Amino acid sequence: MHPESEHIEALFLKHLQQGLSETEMRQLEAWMEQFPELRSLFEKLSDTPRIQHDMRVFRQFAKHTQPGEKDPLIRKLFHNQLFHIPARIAAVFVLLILSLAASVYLFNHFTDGSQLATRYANDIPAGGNKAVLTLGDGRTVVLEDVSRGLVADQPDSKVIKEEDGRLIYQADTDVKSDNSGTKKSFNMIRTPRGGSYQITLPDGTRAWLNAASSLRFPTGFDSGQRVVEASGEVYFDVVEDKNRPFRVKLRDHVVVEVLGTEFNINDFEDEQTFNTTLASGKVIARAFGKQIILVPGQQAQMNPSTSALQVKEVNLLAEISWKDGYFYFDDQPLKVIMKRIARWYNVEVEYRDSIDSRFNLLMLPRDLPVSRLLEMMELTGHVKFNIEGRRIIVMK
Amino acid sequence: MDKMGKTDLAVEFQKGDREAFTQIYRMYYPSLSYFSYNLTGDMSQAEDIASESLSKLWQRHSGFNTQASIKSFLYTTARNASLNYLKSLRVRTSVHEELLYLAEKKDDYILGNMIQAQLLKYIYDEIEVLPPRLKEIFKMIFEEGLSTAEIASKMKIREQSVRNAKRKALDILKIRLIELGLVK
Repeated sequence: MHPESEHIEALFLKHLQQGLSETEMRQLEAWMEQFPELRSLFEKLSDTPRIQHDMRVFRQFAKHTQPGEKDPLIRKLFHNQLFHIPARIAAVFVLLILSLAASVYLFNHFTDGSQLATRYANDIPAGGNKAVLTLGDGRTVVLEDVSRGLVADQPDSKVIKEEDGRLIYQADTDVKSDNSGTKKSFNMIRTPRGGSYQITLPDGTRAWLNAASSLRFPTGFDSGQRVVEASGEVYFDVVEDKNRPFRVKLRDHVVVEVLGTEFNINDFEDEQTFNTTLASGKVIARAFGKQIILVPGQQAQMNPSTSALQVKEVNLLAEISWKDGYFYFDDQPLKVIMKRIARWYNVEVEYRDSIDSRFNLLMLPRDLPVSRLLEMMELTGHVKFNIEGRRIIVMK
Repeated sequence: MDKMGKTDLAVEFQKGDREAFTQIYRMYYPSLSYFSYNLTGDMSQAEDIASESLSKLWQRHSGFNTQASIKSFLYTTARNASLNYLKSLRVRTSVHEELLYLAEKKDDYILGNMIQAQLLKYIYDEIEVLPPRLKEIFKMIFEEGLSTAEIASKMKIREQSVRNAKRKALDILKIRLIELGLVK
C-alpha cells in the first residue's frame, strides 16, 4: 500500500467527523492533485444517491459479520490445526517474498513522486533499528551489527536476537526463583539519536525504546518486585503479575508503578516536563512525595523545576503512534514537531525566523525521508525549509 | 477508531489469540469484500478473496505486530488476488478489461478504493451502534432514501416521531451528515 495511505485516510476520516482545518484541507488538496481518484472519492462523500448505493452494497458484505454469528471461515481456521502448523513454517519465506514485492511496487510508485524531493539540496533518511547493549560484565554489543541468535548467556537469562531484530531475554527455568543470595547482574540498552529498538525483558514484558533513550534492568527479576530504570521515551507492555509489581524509575525522584498495563514514559532532558501516558490498565505515578493514579488516556506531567505533578487528558494517538511507526502531530507548534524530527533523523534545527503557526502531520510513517515531512508542512504556506548537511534551516 | 484497542489487538493477534483474529476478521471482512468487489465486479468472488486474504493472514500471524502491517497485508493480498482472478478469466468483457487496467496500472484507484472501503466501514459501524428503533428509522432515511411520510406510513407511526428519531440519530452519530449534504 501507499506509504502515506494512513495519513490520507486520517484526513478523510476527520473530514467526515468534524471537518478539516484550513491547513489540513490544503494538504488534502495536494493529495487530490497527485491522485485524482481521491478527488472523486471526496466528491462522492457529498453525493447522497451514490453514497446510498455504496452503503447498500457494503451492507451486503457486512451482514455476515454480525457479532455473535459464527462464521464458517472462523470455524474452519480454528478447527483445522493440522492445516495451521505446516503453514507457519512456510510463513517467513512467503512473507519475505511478499514484502519484497511490495517494496518494489512502492519504489516504482515513488519514482514519479520523488521528483518533488529534489528541491532540497540533500535529503536525510529516517532512523532505524539501532541500539547498544551493555552486559553485566561491562561488555558492549552493537545490536544492529550482531547476527541473529544467541547474543549472550548470562546469570538468570539468555539474550537472543530474533529474525525481525527484536531482542528477547529468556529467563533460565532451571534456576530457583529465590536467588536473593547471588549478586545481581544488570544490563542496559541505549538507543542513539536516529535509532529505536524493541526488547522483551526476562518476565515477558515488552519495551519499545524511542530515539535517544535507555533502559536498565536486571537479567533476572526478584521475587518481590520488578524494577527498571528508564530515560528518554519508552513504551511498556507489562506482563501482569499481582505478586510482583513492575516499577519504572525515572531519574531519581519518580517511580511509576504498574500492575499489568500499557503505558508510555517520556523523559527527555530538553523537555520541561516528563510524562507518563497510560494506554490501558492502571498505573500509579509517584514524584516529589506526591502520587496519582492514572486511567487510560490520561497523562501524568511532572515538572522537576517546580515539583509539580499534574494529570491531563491526552490524545493517545498523538502520544503512542511512534511505537507503531507513525508520526502523529495534531495542531502542534513547529518547535514541538522539530524536536521530534531532530531526534529521529539525528539532525540539528536552526531557526532563521520564528514561526507561530501550528501544524498537522497525521499518521505519517516514520520511515519516510525527512523531505516528505518538511514538504507537507511547507504546503501550508506558513513555513519554508532548507536542508544543509545534517542541519534543517527553518524560514518564513 | 480506538487506537489503543488497535495496539492491544495486534499484540494479542501476534501471539495467536483467536479472539483477536475474530475481531480483525469482523473489522476487515466487509471492507475487503467491498474493495475486491470494486476490482472484480463479482460479489461472490469478492467474498472468496476476502476470506482467502484473512485466512492467509491467520496462517502468518506471528509475523505481524502492528495494525498497519496487518491492514497493508490484507489489502495487498486482496488486490493481487483480484488481479489474478481478472487475468484468469477466459472471456473478459470490456468491464473486466477496464478493471484490469485500473487495478494494475492506476495506483490511485487502489488507494481511493481502499480508503472508501475503510470509510464505509466506519459509517456502517456508527449506524450499527444506534439503538435498534433509531437504527431502523435512520437506515430508511439514509440508505433507502425514504421520505418522512413514507417511513411514517410504513412503520405506522406519526411523522413527528420520524422527525424526532432522525434528529436524535443525527445527534448521536459522529458523522457530519448534514454539513456534507448527505442527509437533509
